[in-house]
Amino acid sequence: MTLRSYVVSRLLLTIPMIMLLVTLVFIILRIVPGDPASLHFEKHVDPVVLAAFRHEFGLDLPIWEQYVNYLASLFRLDLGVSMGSSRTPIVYAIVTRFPATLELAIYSMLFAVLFGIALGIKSSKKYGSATDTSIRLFGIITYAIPVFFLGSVLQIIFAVWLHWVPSGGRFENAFLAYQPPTITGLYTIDSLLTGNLFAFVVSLKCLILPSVTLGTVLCGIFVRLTRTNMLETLRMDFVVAAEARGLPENVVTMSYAFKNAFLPILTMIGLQFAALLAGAVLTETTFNWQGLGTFLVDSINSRDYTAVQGIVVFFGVLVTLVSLVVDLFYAYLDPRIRL
Amino acid sequence: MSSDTSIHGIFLSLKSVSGDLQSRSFRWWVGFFIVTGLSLSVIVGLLIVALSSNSELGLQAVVGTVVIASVFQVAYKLQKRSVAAGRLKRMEGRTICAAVFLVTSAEVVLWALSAIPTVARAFSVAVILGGFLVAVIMLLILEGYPILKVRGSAGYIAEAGLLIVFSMAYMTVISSWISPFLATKINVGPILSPPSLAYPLGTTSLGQDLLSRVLTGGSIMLQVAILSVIVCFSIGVPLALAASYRGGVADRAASLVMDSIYAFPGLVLAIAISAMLGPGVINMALSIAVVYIPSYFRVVRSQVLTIKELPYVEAAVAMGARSRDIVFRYILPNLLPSAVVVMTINFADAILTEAGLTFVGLGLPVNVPDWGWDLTFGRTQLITGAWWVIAFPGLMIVLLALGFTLAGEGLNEVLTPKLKE
Repeated sequence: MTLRSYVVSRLLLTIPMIMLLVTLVFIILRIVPGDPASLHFEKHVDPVVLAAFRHEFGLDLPIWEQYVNYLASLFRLDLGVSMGSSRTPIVYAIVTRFPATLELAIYSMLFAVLFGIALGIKSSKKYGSATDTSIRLFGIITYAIPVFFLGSVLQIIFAVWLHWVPSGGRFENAFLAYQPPTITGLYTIDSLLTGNLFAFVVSLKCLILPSVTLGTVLCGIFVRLTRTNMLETLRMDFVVAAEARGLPENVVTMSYAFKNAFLPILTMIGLQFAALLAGAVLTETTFNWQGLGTFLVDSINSRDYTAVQGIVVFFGVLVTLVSLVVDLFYAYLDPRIRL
Repeated sequence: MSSDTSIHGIFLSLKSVSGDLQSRSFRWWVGFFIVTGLSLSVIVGLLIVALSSNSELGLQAVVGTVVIASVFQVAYKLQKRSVAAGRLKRMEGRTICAAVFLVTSAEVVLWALSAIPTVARAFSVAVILGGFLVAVIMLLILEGYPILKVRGSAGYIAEAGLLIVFSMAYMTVISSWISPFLATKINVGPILSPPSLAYPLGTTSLGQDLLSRVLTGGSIMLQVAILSVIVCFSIGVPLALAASYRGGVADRAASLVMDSIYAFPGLVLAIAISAMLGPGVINMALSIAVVYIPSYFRVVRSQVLTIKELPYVEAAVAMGARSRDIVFRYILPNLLPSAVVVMTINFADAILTEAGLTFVGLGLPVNVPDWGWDLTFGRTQLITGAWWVIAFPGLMIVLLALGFTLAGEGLNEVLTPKLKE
């Protein structure tokens, strides 16, 4: 198979995946007992108001017609309007909120990957020692920590006791006047683009705790993966040969062994994206970070089911697209996959 | 790894180890200390129950626990001697041990039903769970745990994890006898008092005793986890077996559906389902189950596809075995170990997801003691620096999830041995 036909077949496979996923969300939100309209009002409500509400959101139609409408509007990239009194289009809300989540996701993933790989390499080079076991235990423990617990502990230590960083939010209230104008919506990038170094520092300070929290919870898998792959590669003939030629240890580790152990790690970055988003929901709520996660939680608390549906669909499609990109990138890097 | 096969019992092994300290890996010591520490703490816990419980029940529970464990221990000794002398087969001996355990437990339950009908259920669960725990610990101390002892440090890691889990389950069950106050009662002490002698873990912002809440708070989490794991296991494994053994369209369709669920951020899906179903133990368990069925499906499916091609299965097919026999007698027993490993990890995931659902406000009503809720509610006092209302419930969640993760990690190496690293 050539690269081109692999790309085409992978692209075609994505379409049924997304269809299935979108249908799944629809089924979950409609099949369960109690329709979104009556759940939205929760308590007793005037039947006339309820009927009008149902009609407005098309919930009085037969279920298959609702499904067709839902698919048709998704095709137009329309996720409907909020059930709240503002009737904001969900797409608008997602577009304004997404950069915050993206920023958190990027920095957390960066932390998780760098920290995880560093620990993994360390662990594999000291195989079987106390350091190795401690690092492995650390990896296991990070898996067992609820992200909001770790977040709270860090908040208490670094925000409440030490006052090093703010305990939440994307920008410190005291410096709101310096907030960068929205270009990409990522504060750190916007402030750099406008050359506002002060704003950059402030937004970075707000980012540290959330991204370290989320990154630590995610890094366990990278530790384990790096360690296993490095152990395999370090034993290979070409590494032994490089050592025998007397190359410096760092060169052997990094440009001989690690370079070859990196591919599976790259795939894992893509696979971890779903876990990253799930973790982001909790991290955002912990740190009052105004992204999609807090939006989801707010929508659930105000029983805004169109918003919940919209966000869940968005998350699902996002994950599918990211895994598509990672697969294509992987195929580009590793010719064996195309065979 | 040196010869762990020669080891019998923790205390005996200490003697045999002291000669070759260097040959023990650090990991072995970690597992060893967790196991011994936990065993000791369970025994100390039993003593505390016996000495300081509010009612006669606590003492009776401890007596029942020790009776079950001791009878089991005696039965184990006797059957071991008979097996060694060749009077019994190994499996027969084990069956007798299990039967003795069951009969003794049934006796205690019957006694509880007649003597203390009001709390018979909780009492029986407590005593049987406790009996099991103490029996395992006695086996560990006196014999070396018979199944895992040959596997070295992985065996100890698995044991440590299982001990953590069972001890915490036991603690939750007996909590009503050992907690100093009623967990839901407010204003038993000053508001937000830091840990002190009177309130060892401090009090909450409602003046509840945090120690009582921590002791009691695992029950919802464990119920949700157990229910969801049962649902996951009993749907995921048969579905994967059926689909992947036959292959064809059904297999491809099932895989596609499972893959698309698997691709979802698990917590987000669980949140969506849970938001529609509303709060409640069963609803939470269901929404968690939906999310984790695919992990069973994927593991079991890949196992079936591998096993199906192995020579012994082909031989069975060639001999004309019925497909029912092939699936249940040839394939299923060989994939159960990996399904068990997935199950253990699934427990940890279910616990963390339950905590997450509670954290975003989809948990149980306010006054039910639950670690997840206590942690969430404790966060509202964050700014006052009241660390104890966050730290203790959170640590309990970590410990429980860690127990399952360690068990999964250890069992993974014990049950599905791969090439040595």
